[in-house]
Amino acid sequence: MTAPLLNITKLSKHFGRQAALSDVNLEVEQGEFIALLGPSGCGKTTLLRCIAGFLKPDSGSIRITGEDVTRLPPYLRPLNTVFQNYALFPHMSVEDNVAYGPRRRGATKKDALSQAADALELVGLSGFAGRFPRQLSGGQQQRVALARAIVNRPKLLLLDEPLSALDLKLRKRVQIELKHLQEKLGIAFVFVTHDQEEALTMADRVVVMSGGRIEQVGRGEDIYRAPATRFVADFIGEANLLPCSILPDGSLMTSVGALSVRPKLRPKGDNLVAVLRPEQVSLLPDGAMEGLSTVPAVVEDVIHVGSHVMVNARVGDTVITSRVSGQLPAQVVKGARLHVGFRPDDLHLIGD
Amino acid sequence: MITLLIRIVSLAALLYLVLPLVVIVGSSLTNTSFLAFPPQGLTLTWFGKVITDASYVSSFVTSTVLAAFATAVAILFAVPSALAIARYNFPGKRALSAILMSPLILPHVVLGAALLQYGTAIGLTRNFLALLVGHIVIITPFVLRAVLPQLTEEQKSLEEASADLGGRPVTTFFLVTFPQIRSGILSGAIFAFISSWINVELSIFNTTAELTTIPVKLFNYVQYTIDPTIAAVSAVTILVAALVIIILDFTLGLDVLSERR
Repeated sequence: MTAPLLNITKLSKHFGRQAALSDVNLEVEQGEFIALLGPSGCGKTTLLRCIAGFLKPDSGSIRITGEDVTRLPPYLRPLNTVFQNYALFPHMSVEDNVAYGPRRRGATKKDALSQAADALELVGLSGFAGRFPRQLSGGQQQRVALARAIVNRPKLLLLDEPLSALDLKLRKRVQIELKHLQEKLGIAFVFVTHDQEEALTMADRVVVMSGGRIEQVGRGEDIYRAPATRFVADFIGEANLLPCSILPDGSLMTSVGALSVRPKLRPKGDNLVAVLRPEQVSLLPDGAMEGLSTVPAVVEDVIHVGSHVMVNARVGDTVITSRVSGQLPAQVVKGARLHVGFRPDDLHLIGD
Repeated sequence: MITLLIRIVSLAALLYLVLPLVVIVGSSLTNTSFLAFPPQGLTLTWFGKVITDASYVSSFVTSTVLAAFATAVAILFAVPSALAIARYNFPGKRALSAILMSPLILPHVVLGAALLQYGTAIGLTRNFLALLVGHIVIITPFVLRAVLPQLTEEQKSLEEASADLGGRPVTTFFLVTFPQIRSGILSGAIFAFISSWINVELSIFNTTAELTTIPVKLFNYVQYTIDPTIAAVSAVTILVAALVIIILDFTLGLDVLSERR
């Protein structure tokens, strides 16, 4: 069994008394696309900077293909980084920026420039070699930063929110391009983002972080379907979180009443939470429907969001949100009394 | 309307700055044996007198060599200090920064007296080295102050990018850091050079009859005599400064002083 490309073990880092990373463990395989996802201050950028070598962790280790690089300075690590602000050298032309890496690794000027030309062609900027960074648009600068990082053909590329400065349309396009490029080159990407859609679109596996800890690692759809913690359920997509407990007879008591559901998974802890995604909640103006658990509710808000409609319905003290993508039944108006229903199997239980 | 007003005000300000120079250069050309403006007749006698006077020539040389050496050493002190202060956290960082900057707020006379007293104790007085040490102390803050603001976070991320691409620290400094702070070093060096060139209060403690700088010589001279010689010396000084600025503009471009590229 070969060593994984990147192996992070028990990594911790404090800033003063503030724990920025605590006990982080992560493995990344060759050619994998990993997204580090979380709100600002969750430690994702700190983790990236530890991998790059700009920060020294307090404890724990970082191995790249088995070699311990924890104490190595950045310039000796076999990886490259695309910085959030691109960090292009303003006093160098585009080709000199891209040739900088090969030059530092001992290539002759001629070889370095020819490698730079190849990398620039790869990102579609062949005609821009002689320009200076300030003469380029944000999107073009982003491509130069990418070319400069991949020209060395590292096995591992770190990207620190590289798309955050681009406008929405361009960002969507670059996401797809970046994903294609990553597959073509076979370089493993560790991609920091706070944009969950970006993470779910691009990554093979998503690492959700909060408060310096890894909350969950998994494929995007698994994280969405089966969040491991309350934080993940709340952070990824929209969710109805229903506090609940399991009764002695094995059925479920939730904040919207007792359900004749016998959950297959029984997480530890007394304060359980049932997660129900809005698209799993049906609105039933005519009452019950076979196969669904239903509870009576009153419509509080009907919110049109273009492609779909979000309906908030009150059940006692709890508000349940339903997402309706097709035609909204005529009876669903503010103040209407109806039933909300869901498939018992869709309930996902989370322990404490 | 507003633009016109701004132009008039700036022209007036410029005129106010330039007029004394016109007066001093004008008086250096006077025929009379006393300072007169407008000059009575035109002669270069006083310039001739200055150029042929060995004591003037030697104090010009002393001042120039002193300012050049002091500026060079100040750059060697200030740039690493600025890097340390901007890039690292270490105990005594604020103290170091305050000490390096303190000559800016201390009266130079006080510094001069202190240096003389200390110099006497260690046998470093009234020679070129004593002058040099004092000048380095007072001009280092000028370079430091000009370089520090250029070591921004943005600049730091350029250095990180260089390290990330395999650039070792020394390579990173010369290929990435230095080109970015060059304009700061240059403008700081010009201020430093001029501060050294014009200094009287500090130099006066360590100059002798044989070893003296041009401002100290002028200062001593005007205590006893006022004749057009001093105007001629001043005119030469102005000419040298103007030449330096013009040469800098042609070689490096003075735009590097006004804006970060």
